[in-house]
Order: sequence, then structure tokens, then C-alpha cells
Amino acid sequence: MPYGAAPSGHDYRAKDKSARSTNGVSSYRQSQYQAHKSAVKWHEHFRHYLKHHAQSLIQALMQQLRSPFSSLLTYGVIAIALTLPTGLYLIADSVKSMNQQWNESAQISLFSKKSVSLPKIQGLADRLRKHPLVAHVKLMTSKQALAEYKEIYKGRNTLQLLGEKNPFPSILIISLNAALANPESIEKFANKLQQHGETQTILLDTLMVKRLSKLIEIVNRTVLVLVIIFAVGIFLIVGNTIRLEILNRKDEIIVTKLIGANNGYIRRPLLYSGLWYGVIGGIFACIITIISTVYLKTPIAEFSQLSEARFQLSILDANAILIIIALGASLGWLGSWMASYRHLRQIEPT
Amino acid sequence: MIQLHNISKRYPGGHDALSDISFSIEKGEMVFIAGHSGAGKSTILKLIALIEKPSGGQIVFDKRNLKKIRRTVIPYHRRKIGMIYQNNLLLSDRSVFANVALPLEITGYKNKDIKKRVRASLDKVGLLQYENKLPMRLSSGEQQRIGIARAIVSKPSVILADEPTGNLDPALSKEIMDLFVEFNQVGVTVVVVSHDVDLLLRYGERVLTLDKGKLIEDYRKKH
Ligand SMILES: Nc1ncnc2c1ncn2[C@@H]1O[C@H](COP(=O)(O)OP(=O)(O)O)[C@@H](O)[C@H]1O
Ligand SMILES: [Mg+2]
Repeated sequence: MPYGAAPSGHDYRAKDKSARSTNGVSSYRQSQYQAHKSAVKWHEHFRHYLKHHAQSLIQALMQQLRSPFSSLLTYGVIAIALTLPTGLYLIADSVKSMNQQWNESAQISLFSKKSVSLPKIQGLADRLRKHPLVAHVKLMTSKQALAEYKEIYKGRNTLQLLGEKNPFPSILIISLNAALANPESIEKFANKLQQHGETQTILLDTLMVKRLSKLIEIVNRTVLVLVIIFAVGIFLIVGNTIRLEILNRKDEIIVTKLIGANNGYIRRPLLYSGLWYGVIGGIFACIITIISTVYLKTPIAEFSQLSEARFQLSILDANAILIIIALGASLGWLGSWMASYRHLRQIEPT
Repeated sequence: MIQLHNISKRYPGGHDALSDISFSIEKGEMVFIAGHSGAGKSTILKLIALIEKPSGGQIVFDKRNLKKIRRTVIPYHRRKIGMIYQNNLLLSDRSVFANVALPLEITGYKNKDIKKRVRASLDKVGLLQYENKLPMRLSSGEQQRIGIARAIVSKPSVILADEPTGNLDPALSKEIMDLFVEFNQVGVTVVVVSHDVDLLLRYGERVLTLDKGKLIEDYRKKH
């Protein structure tokens, strides 16, 4: 081993002191110089890398805009593939808001035992009001129930059948919290109420809630299936577009390879091209969706008024727009990555 | 600089394009490769630039055995060589400037340096006034010179030229050859494939002659 090759080496004790110190200094300077040089090199490499990324990003967009018709075709197909699941998602979201209204109207009527005293029932009502599932509780005493009955059936024979005794129990009308209630929790809650000592019987209507909730599950799953199918579609569309681009530019690719470009260098603009297809297709999809919802807004509002359904079409919010564009971008990137990975290796100069 | 050891090449489904070729080119030498059409001249250049792989034998380039170079390193090997192709291989949709700048873009020079070097390179081949034109607008001789400008722009240590004067008239041929001599004088190793007898007689310090894939003569001019 030459002197100074490893100044911090373990054999320095064996060396002559003066020789070690001079060699040590020179080798230190040298290593410092090399460290400096490699730092510059690393820095330069990174700068070149960033520059080429920025260049490819702009170049890829320019390339697409230079042949607007064929680019527009690709944007259009991607936009349609993104619009369909988006539209269905909005419908599902609207139905969900309707479901909340149904849950809100979900009520449990608790008929108390005749023997239970009024203060006890008031105590039960107070306790129930603290339950998270409960929005509010209305207490109808047996007297009030009788009065209401009399009011409804004024002047009919049935009143005489009642005689002097009041046959009505006190009733608690429990409205449930829309945000927290779902068919399962409502049912569980109702069962718990049934266990109370004060309870004679429970009246519960959750059929509509159940139906709607199943409907939502169907729509949710349909949206998921559509998203997957159309995502694969976008992946394939972009992949095929990039494949054609590679074949079109075969000569150019061969020349750049001959001059010393590696696959990464050639692939970069193609990846950004795929990214642009996805991003612009996603923006188009958002525009189509927004125009469609605006177009549908008035008749739906009118229908909702006429049918008392309080149905409102959801609109695309900023989050959804970002997700759609990000989805398009990543699918475009993946599609072009796949195509360029496969086809660039096959194009070699001869 | 470049050594060929018992190189043979057979293209798939073809006959032997080269058989048992051995020679050595020193650093800073200027060498011609002569021979009839189909003798295997271009094939030798392609083997050196790793565009083709030899069927047998070994090539050593700048003390590196090319057989041991991995696929991913081939681009870096090619960047050391300024290659001039028989059919120029210019990109038709880019300006003359962009064509010549390509090797520098790939290697990652700064824009400022690219501008300086491309201009200097175009100036050397006398085409600076055409930098914004498309190559297809120029004559074939001018296109050839753009190819040369692109090959020299990154100042490679080796220039491989495949019939660089094929499309040029004698006066222009002489200009181009003088350019190569100039590069050679500052230490660049230059290999020129040519079958132009006048040129070989005037500039050929050393001429390797091929015939049907065999090296039949390694001639050195006596002084
Ligand atoms: N890609 C190829 N595939 C098959 N045969 C080839 C290929 N390239 C060259 N050849 C053959 O190899 C021989 C040498 O070709 P080449 O090196 O181009 O000759 P030269 O450049 O001296 O004219 C010729 O017979 C040619 O037909
Ligand atoms: Mg040839």
C-alpha cells in the first residue's frame, strides 16, 4: 500500500513520521479536491435532470398542440371515459343526501305501559334526549292522546265506545339523528328501547330507509366497477397513442440513440405526453360534467318541488375536480410508461 | 486507442461481412479504411460504436473491452465518439441549430454553452448562416457538413466518418478533409471510410484496405 493512500489507516504507527505528514497533507488536499469535484458533478447532473424534465413537460404539450385534431380525439375519448363514472358518482351522492332525509324522517314511537306514571315517562324522555342517536323526543301524554283522538273523530259514534276510561298510553315520539342513523343502528336502538321496563310496544318503520340504503350500495358498487373499467380503458388508450407516437418517431428515436441518448432520456417526453393527455382529458371531463349538471338543475328542482322529495343533484366540488384530474394524470402516465417501456427497447439502431 | 482482435461478423441470415480482422489504431492517429462497396467498411465502424455486436473476436476501445460493456452503458460509450453517417441521419423537423445541439442536449450542457459550441461548430463547417433553416432545405453537401458539425460539437476524442465526402465535389471534399486533419493535429483520433482514390493518395498516411470482409493491406506512407 502506498504512503498516504489511506491517511487514517491503521498502520500509520509503523510509518516514518515526516513522510506520513507530507503524504497525508497532499492526499488530504487531493481527496478534498475530489470531493469538491464530485459534488459539482452531482449538482450538475441534477440540474441537467431537472432541466430535461421541465423541457420535456413543455415539449410534450407543444407537440400535442401542434397536431390539435388527433390530440383532441384522444382528449375526447379520455374525457368521456372519465365523465361517465363521474356522472354516476354525482347521482349516487345525490341519492345519499336523500337517504339522510329519509333517516331524518325515521321515527320510533314508544308506547308506554299503562301502569307507568307520567314523571317516570318524563324521566325516560330526558334520558333519551341525551342519547347520540336521538335528535329530539316529543312526549304525548295519555290525556293529550285522548284529546287528539277526540279532535279527529269529533261527532262520531266511536267516541261513545271509549266510555269514561282513557285507553291511551303515553307515547314518546323519538326522532333520530340523520347524520348518525343507519338501518342497522336504528334497529339496534329500537331493540334496546323494547327492553325498557316502561315500554309496552315499539313502532318502527325502517323499510324505506333499508331500501334506499341497499340502492345506494348498488349504485356505489356500480360506480366502482365503472371506474375500474374506464380506468383500464384510459390506460389502454394512452398506451396505444404513445405506441403510435413511438412508431411515428422511430427514425428520430434511432438517431438520438446513435448519438448517445439512453432510454430514460427518450422516454421522458413520452411520459409527459401521457400525463398531458390525462390532465387535459380530465379537465374536459369536469367541464362536460359541470355543463350537464347545470343543464339538469332546473328540471330537477322543479320535479323536487312537485314531488316533495327534496331531491337535489350534487355538483362537482373542488376536491372531486382534483381527484378526476389526478386520476387522469396518473392513468396517462402509467399508460405511456407501459408503452414506452415495451416499445423503446425494441427500437435499436442497426 | 482502438484495437480489433480477430473480429468476425456475420449478419443474421447472411454471409460473413467480416472475417478475422485484426488491427490497432493508436491515439491521435488518422486512418483511412478503403475497399469496394460491400467490403465491410461500415460494419467495422458500427462494431466500434456498438451499433452491432461482433460474431467473434474482441474490440478494445480506450482500454475497455467492449464485450464487457453493459447495455445501459452503451449510450455513454457512444458519446465518446463523433460519428458521421453515410446518410447523415439528420432530424428533418428540427432546425440546423437543433440538430447540431442534440449531442450537447443529451449530455446536459447549459444553454449558454450549447449556443456557443454549436455556433463554433457550424462556423467550422461554414454553415453558420443556415442555423435556423431546416436541413431538408439545404443541398446534400451542406447536409453532410451539418452531420460533421454534429459529430464534432461535443469535442469527442474519436471521430468515425463513413464516407464523409461521398456527396461533395472535389473542392468541398478537400475542405472537409482539411477539417479532419485539423482535428487530428490537436490529438483527435480520426478514422475515415472512403473509396475516393484521389483523397486516399493525398491524405492517406495510413490506409487499411478491405476486400470481401478480409483485411488485405495495412499501408503506411513512407517519409
Ligand atoms: N443489417 C444488415 N443485415 C444483413 N446484411 C448486412 C447488413 N448490413 C450490411 N450487410 C452486408 O454486409 C456486407 C458489408 O456491408 P458494409 O459494411 O455496409 O459494406 P461497405 O460499407 O464496405 O459498403 C455487405 O455484403 C452487406 O450486404
Ligand atoms: Mg458503407
